Amino acid sequence: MIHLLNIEEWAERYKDGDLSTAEIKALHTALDEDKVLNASFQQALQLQVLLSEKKSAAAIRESLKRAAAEHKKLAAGTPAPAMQIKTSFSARLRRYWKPLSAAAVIALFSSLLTYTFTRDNRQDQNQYTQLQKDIASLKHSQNQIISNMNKKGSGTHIDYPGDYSGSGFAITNDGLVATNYHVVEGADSVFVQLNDGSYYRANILTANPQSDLAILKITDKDFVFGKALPYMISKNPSALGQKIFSIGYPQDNVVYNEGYISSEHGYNGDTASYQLEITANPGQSGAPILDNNGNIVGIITGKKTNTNGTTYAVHANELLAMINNLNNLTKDQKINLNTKNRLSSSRPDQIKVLRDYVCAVRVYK
Amino acid sequence: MLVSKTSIYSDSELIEGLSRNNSQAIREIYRLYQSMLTKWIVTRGGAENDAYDIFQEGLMVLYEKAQKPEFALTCKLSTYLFAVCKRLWFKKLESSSQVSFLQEMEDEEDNDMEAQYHDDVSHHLEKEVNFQLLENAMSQLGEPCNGLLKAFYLEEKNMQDIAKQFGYTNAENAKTQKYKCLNRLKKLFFSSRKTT
Repeated sequence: MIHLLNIEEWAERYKDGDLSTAEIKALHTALDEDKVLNASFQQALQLQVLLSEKKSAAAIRESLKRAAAEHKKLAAGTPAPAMQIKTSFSARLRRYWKPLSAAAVIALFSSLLTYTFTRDNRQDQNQYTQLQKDIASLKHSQNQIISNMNKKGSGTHIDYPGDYSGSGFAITNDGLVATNYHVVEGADSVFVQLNDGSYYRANILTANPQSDLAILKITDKDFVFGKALPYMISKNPSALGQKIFSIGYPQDNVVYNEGYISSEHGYNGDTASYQLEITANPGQSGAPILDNNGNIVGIITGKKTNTNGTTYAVHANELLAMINNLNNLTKDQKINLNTKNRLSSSRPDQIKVLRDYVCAVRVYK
Repeated sequence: MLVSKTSIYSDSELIEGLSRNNSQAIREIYRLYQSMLTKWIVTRGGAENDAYDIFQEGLMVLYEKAQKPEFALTCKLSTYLFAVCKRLWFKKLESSSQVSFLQEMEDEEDNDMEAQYHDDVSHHLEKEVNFQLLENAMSQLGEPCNGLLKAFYLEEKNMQDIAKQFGYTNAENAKTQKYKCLNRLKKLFFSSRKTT
């Protein structure tokens, strides 16, 4: 029997899903017949929900408090990062790179590998990861090893330029660089590092979070990448199955990858991007996707979290649209794009030329 | 312009982590956004601790929103959190003084998108009021009801342990008692809600 004296129990079992179909039916009949009972039941149910919400809210608040306390401690312990341009970066790196033991390299990689969520597989959906590299997390483990090595004397350590890094490539020979919006988002300062290790300060000329693209300008007025640009930015969308390749900076050396266009639409059916089957690693955000002739057809933006090879790249068209916008805004300083491909057909020869036009983008935040 | 650090985790991973009480995700959210909010609040005359309090409330708003089955975030996580935290901050200022900050609030909220989240904030504040009323009602119950209900509903102890702790002969007796207490709690809670 369902009555006012045991309605609390019924409400609790109803909320917990403990009732059989017959019992649910009986409950509904009883509630339909008796308005007072119904009102009492609704209140009992509200109370049940409120109690369980209070319990989970309290658990979350506990975790938040812990995280806040940790964050407070960290914030108090770390002084603001020094903002110095160190022109001898590559020389320093070379000097300290060798003494880094194998252990350092392992620590570096394992810290990358373990930096993932423990995920609930039942809720596994396709996830999207931006491929920007947080250098601070790597730097920490490295510094520890280096400081262990140097325990006796000098307190030297490697200075990475930037807290974050991505990749980019030349749009014009005089220092316009394309990269991802998310690479430079929130940047205090941005440096572009070339294949030879030299690096240059750059300004963010324009950025578009929708397409995840940004255009940088190297501030040095006399800067040139080399001879005239060897490639074009392709106007036409690439076809499904088109072989593509990419060069970018997931590490300090330029890295080559190849693959194919696996879908004309990107993440969640995004029509402004491609889905590619190509390996991409953190740090490769903003790297160019090139077709067989070495023309730019896309820019890497991110990858699917749970797979190795599925990568997304925004159409080169979106970049051209941004450049057009810039041209419309500043009539006196037109950006003239290269219209001639000077690359040979051999891939190693192509890369030999291309790598001077692809760069790492280092960002301080 | 509010700036943000970037993470190797996507926004949806972070939100999912928060809603499942994953400490790694929560730490990451703090790493990404707390300092910026602190900066924002300190430049508006708040203390560092205010910023931590507001951020915690902001995350609770997000947590509650993420519990809903129809939940979908239509903007970036950072955008959402800042809009919500700003709102909470102005609400707090308003409640602690006689002056209305509504004008400033509207000036600061530079687009309609931010105004969309006002509902989320009011729902959260309403919920907090209800939690407070519930707590008051529970303490009005007196012992053993208060302790019994807390042990079962908030601390998730099982009926055997509760029976032992509160001196009932068996779990069944404790259970009967629990429902009686719950009945009293219900009456207290809903009558206090009517009067406020």
